[in-house]
Amino acid sequence: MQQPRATAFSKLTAPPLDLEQPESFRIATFAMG
Amino acid sequence: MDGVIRTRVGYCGGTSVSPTYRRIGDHSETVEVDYDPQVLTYDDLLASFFAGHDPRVRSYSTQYRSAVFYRTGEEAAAAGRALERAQLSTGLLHTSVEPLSRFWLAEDYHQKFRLRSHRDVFAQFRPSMPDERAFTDSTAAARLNGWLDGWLDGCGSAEQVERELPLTGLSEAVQDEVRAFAGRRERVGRLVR
Repeated sequence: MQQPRATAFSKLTAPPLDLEQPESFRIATFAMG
Repeated sequence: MDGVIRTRVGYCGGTSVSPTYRRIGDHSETVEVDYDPQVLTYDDLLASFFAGHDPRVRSYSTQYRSAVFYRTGEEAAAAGRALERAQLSTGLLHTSVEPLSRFWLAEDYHQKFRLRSHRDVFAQFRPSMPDERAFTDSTAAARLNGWLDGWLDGCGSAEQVERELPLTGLSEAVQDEVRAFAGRRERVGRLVR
């Protein structure tokens, strides 16, 4: 089995969240039952 | 969707402490979406929320219901407007708009449930993450989970799939499996208004 490339994954790996700058992201919460 | 950074499922809306799937108490199953407001607006998310499920029939349980949990007065007003807009085209919707008290993260095995169910994809992807928390918080895992659940135009685009899927490092065969599922909801005409 081909192994995933860790370097490629890092481009889509969280967190780009900067917890020191909470205005850089927001959170939304939903129930969709 | 572009701008979505992280998705996590959990429980909220109730009063019991430390709910679990088996002891959910008076909470509801919920999804928490972390997003970049420079790319995606709360109104965009509300539009996807109403397009992505059908609350025309009242839920039979607190566990499974339709609700928007707002954090600010602005979000409450936006949710109210979105609900009114949705009802103009669909009639009465049983969606509750209420303040968020606390979000309780669900157990690991519930996180990215659709991705976990695609064993070939999961087997290639999971080793790239150092632990369960990183997997849960992964933007790539959120993308794969959504695509494998059949979303495309409702929560992203074909262009996004082609731009981001190769970045996951998955084999061509497994990428093709993801492509086969992405957009399935739109193709069969379900859950799209």
